[in-house]
Amino acid sequence: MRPRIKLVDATLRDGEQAPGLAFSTKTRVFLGALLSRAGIYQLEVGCPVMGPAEIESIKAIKQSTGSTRVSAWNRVRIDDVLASLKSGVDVAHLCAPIRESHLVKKLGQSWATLSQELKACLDLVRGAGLLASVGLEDVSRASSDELVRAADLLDSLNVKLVRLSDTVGVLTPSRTKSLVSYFKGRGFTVEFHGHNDLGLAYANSLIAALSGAELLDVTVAGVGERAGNCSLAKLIALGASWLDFDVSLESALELEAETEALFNRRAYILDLLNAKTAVETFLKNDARSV
Amino acid sequence: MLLIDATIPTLLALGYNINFSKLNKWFKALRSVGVTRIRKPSEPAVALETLHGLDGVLSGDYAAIFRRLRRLEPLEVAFGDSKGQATALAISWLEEGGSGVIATLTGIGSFPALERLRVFLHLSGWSPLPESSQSFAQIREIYESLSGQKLPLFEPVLGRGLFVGESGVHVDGWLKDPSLYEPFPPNLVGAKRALAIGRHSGQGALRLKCWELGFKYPQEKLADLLALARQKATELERSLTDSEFATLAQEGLGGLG
Repeated sequence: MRPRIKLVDATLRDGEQAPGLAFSTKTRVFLGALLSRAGIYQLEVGCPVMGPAEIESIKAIKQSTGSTRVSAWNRVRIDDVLASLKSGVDVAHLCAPIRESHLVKKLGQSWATLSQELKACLDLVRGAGLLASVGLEDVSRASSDELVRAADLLDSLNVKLVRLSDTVGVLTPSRTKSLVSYFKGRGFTVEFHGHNDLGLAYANSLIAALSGAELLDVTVAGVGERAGNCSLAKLIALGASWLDFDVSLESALELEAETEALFNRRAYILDLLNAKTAVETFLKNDARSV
Repeated sequence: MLLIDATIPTLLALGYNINFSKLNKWFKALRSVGVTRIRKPSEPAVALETLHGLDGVLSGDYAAIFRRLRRLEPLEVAFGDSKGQATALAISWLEEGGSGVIATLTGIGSFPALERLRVFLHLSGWSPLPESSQSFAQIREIYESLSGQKLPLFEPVLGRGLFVGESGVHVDGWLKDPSLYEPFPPNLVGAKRALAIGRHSGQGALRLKCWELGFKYPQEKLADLLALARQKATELERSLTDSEFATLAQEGLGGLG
């Protein structure tokens, strides 16, 4: 039997984080409504902790997307979750760094502290009647021990849905297969979030689905940081031989054609690249002061 | 590990008017990143004895198929891209101990993408590249000159815009350890980082941009400046230019003074 795949569109979160892009609430509502009408299962629409304007914008998107599930992205922080609760979303997605180097270098945090904070965040989300999903950030570069530790923690916290995030796009098909199989074997529902740094996002998403992932993440036109994410239309076109999607290829192609102009950031990026940049000098000499 | 470039014969077969004066530079640049064999214009991209196609095998037990195929000892393999998986197939083939992969730059002509395979070989530790090299930037420029086409700004590995950062979480990563949010450092592919300020920026990015533009901004006013920058970017529906950001910063300090 062909796997039936639920698509999670992250255009209004991961996609819009691409440098050069910024959408007004009007544009975000327009995009959310189009994606909802096309049959997307879930829309990840933003980060409420950015402030009151973001919360109001997310509320407006939620109103225009009917019965489509709407989620918000959060760090494993109480402040983030409190903001999400105000935004009226259905799902609070919690992004958890699981590699020791992320914990130490980025957060200056121990695994024990992260575990406690994740539990507190989940209690808050569930207490408010929202669904929770947990993403494992940079799962591709995690060691076996770090993966087992993460799975054990999610198990103990009764987390059902786990997002495997290939944050820097370095997974290969064989590694994708073994990761998804491991988490499926541990009883989790698996969502796969690919990035296209080595041009493997589509192949990895296909392999993830054929290995048991039930949800795949996409963005319109594949927009996202660096080389981007999986494009909604291209994933459906390339996966149609093996997978069933709720969104038709015709709807996806039409949607990407209709919104093409919104994602054109070529002139801005070229101007930025042509300007004198001192980022490297700063990172070498002065980053510690910041 | 044999990596074979077939870009030039493929471009010719596709009807491109090649600028032959660039060929020597092309050969030299590819050799500098360890490409072991480079097809000349007079050679076919794919020889008669080449194992060619296998476009859809990734959806099955491809590892078992590859193990059996390796027993045939094929000298060259050209994976097809009709399912968008040629590069993934080539990487899987290499992981299973295969060699002799035919590739073209960006995968043009329905082949695996040479530059992505090369960076994969580096990341896997099988064939490290020099830490800092302009070779990939040169390869991009020669290819654009040969083919008469500019590559997309966000083309994997070769895109000029790959290392532009904006979002708070990723610029924060730059400041703490760039490898947190980058698959490889920009130096590896002759690229450079650049900073955009926009709706997703954080305070760290603002401080960095102020430094880049040559002025200091009071710490206690950064939160206000961030709110102004986000509001302005939302109004414009794009990130801010440096001059737009500088104007906002000056306004935040109560004018030019």
